Amino acid sequence: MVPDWDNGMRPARFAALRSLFAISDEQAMWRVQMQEDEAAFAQLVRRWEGPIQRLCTRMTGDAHRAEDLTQETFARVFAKRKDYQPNGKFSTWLWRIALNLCCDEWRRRQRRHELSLDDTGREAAASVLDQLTAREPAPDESLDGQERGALVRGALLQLPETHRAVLVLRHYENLKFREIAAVLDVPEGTVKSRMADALTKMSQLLKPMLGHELLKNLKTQNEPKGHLTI
Amino acid sequence: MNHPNPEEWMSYLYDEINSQERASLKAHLQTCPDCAADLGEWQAARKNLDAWRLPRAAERARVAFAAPAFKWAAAAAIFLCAGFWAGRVASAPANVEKVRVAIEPQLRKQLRQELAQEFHEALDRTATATLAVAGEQARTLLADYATVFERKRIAENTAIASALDKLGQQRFADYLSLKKDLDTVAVNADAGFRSTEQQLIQLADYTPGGLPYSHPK
Ligand SMILES: [Zn+2]
Repeated sequence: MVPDWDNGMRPARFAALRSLFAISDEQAMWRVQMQEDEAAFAQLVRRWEGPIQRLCTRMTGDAHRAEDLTQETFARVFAKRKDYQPNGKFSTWLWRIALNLCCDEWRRRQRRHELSLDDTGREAAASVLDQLTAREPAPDESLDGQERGALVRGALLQLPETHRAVLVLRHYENLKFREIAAVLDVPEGTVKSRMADALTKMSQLLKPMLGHELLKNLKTQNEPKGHLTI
Repeated sequence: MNHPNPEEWMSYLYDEINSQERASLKAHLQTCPDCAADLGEWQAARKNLDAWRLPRAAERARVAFAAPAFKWAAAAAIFLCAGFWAGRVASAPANVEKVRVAIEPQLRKQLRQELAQEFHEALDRTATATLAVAGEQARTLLADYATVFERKRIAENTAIASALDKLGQQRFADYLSLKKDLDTVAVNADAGFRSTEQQLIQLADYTPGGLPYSHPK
């Protein structure tokens, strides 16, 4: 059966209802570009500040700096609003701006030796590894979630930026390979091969963690009636 | 043996392939321990990546803010489904006007609060962004962005107030027409249910054994 549009909810009404709830990112950006529409800009910030802040945190390994980078990203979006191409996807442009800022930040920090590429990762990994090797783990002792997180963070920071960007966008932000290719302006095949390299490297760097987990699982299996471990 | 390349395995790992390609890669895995080992390693690394969790402070704030609109969207979805299911939509009943009058003050109040909050948050955010971003380059970039907002915030305070009012009325009208539509659909859906129920009862009377859903033997 078909609803009776004439007497009930007319298509025009339905469209008005929809527009009340959602204008697309592209529409909002167009309003920012043409009319300097603050409400539209505020909406874009509201929608995207979470993802952008996550991206910056994963790219720099520094949650506090990521807050500043997020604000810089939106400041740049506004400053460069005339550069936005309305036929392009807003998010592609936004990811690219944020990534560029993250890379600038990373290089600045490396130059200043405030934090070297290798040190960050190795420090984090070393501190966790120290804890692991210092004592024989009890059978029911699992690697604490925070320690595992620190280990992954440290390993990620050891990847080249180009590979880290692919891994973060695909794995954590769930972009398709095709979308990542558009953000980075490289062929899709390149994105996929970087992803494979990144995962291989991560696997090598996280081997200690994996090994530990395997050992732990073996021990739990030998227990008479083991409790559930994660 | 002809091994699929790592790019193909990435598509497999993140499920960006069609079922045919998936089946052929899966078949290869059965016969090739090398590829199976590579894939196993990638899968393990992938699983371990999830150990790095981020606090969700920013996200929580956003969700909380979006809540009022979200409730409306959910309500609309439910009523629309009910309307489509019942299928028949008759003329608007008389009590819609009563409902409208009853909800109007509450709706107006809620809407005002939401709008005020939205504007304050946007302005606060701007102020914070302006103050927090340091450095020459960022300052230059921000100047443009800040000027527009500062101008609105300080020099055109009254303009904002009147714009707020106008926007409020506009959105209020939208809310009202939405509410009216929802009421109409809801009431008509109810009528639809009743007529369907009536039809089922009649159908039951015609069916041998009296059960409309009995299976043929
Ligand atoms: Zn193979």
